[in-house]
Amino acid sequence: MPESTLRTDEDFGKFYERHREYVYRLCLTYMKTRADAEDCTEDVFVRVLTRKPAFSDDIHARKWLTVTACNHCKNKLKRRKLIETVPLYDVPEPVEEDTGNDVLSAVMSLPPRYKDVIWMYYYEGYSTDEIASLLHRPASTVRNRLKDAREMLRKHLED
Amino acid sequence: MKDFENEIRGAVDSVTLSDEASARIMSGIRKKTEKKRQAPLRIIIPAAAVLLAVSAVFVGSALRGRDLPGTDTANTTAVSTDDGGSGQGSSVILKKVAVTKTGEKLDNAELSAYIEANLPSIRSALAASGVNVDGMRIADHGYCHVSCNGETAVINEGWRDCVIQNDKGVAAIITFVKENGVIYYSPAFGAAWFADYTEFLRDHAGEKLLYMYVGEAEAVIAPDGTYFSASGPLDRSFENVQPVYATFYDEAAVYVP
Repeated sequence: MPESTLRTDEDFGKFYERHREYVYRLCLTYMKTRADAEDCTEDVFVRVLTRKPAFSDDIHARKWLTVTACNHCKNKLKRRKLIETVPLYDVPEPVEEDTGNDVLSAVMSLPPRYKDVIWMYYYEGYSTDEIASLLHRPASTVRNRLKDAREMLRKHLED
Repeated sequence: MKDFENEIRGAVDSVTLSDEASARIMSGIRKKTEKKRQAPLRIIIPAAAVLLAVSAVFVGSALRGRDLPGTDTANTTAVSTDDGGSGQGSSVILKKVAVTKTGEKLDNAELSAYIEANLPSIRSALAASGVNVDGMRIADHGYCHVSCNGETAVINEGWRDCVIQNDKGVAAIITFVKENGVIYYSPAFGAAWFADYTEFLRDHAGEKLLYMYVGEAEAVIAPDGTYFSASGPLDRSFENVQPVYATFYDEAAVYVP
């Protein structure tokens, strides 16, 4: 059954099984806590069901999921950053995931606009031109961000 | 360099999604999609306080019976923008637009103090407007008001939109205005309520909309390609500007012509 038609629950179930871990990993690098990553993963797959995108193949589906998850996480982080509420009660801050992996922690500490290029380049294997096309940015911007991100990661790991 | 890059590549391999978490996510997906199938249009405004206008004036007589602040205050500054480079992808093209700042600036500290001192009356006013104030919290960060007729943008730094949240999410937006040193508020911003900005933009594709997301220093591009900054002259190249409406479409920046 082609993934362009997730007609039945079974189709969606198989689609979810194939892509859940990937989407979750991507969300975790942005959101830094498992609970938030799970929420975002949920939201991404809800969009699959409600928007019903027509995937021509698995590569298309993966691209769609990547861009959707990146945008969703960045949007959520932006809203969270800009809205501070006058609390009626004290709510403890969620504890960030201790990955036990310095490099992953360093990736998670990058600003959101660097995470998507890092993710797409290193974990999805897209070229800088492909990333530029997905993000609607000039290729030079993508290359600069990759370079800056690598530098930030290196500095973070040296500290 | 290769070793370092391989380290980056291998970093996420340690991240796994447990079966229990996966089942939890799937259960959440089912609940949310079931709700969407059953529920009528929700009157919740998304958490990002966004200003949407199709004409120059927004807030009417809800402002405690006072007239709206005029635009010819002593603090008016006219700032012209330069044309930037051309867009890419969805062909967003920058236009020259005059940006005018008006009004008395309302800073976060005085806004917070005002809200704290007037919380009971704000709650009453919201409840009277039909807003569910259970578990209500008020954001103490707001945004600049921007009005635009496609040619001129007027940025009112004295007007701050604040998000009202209750237990279910964002319930309303109220506008605070500072005029002659006195702060006033409007119980609810007068724009139509809609469940989802994405749906709204989709439903209004083809219309000339001005969609703004103005933070303290952020530049935005309206769906019609008009380019604004609330901070003053635009000195950043196009490639560094986030097409804000893109965040409400999953795939990429979408031009609403």
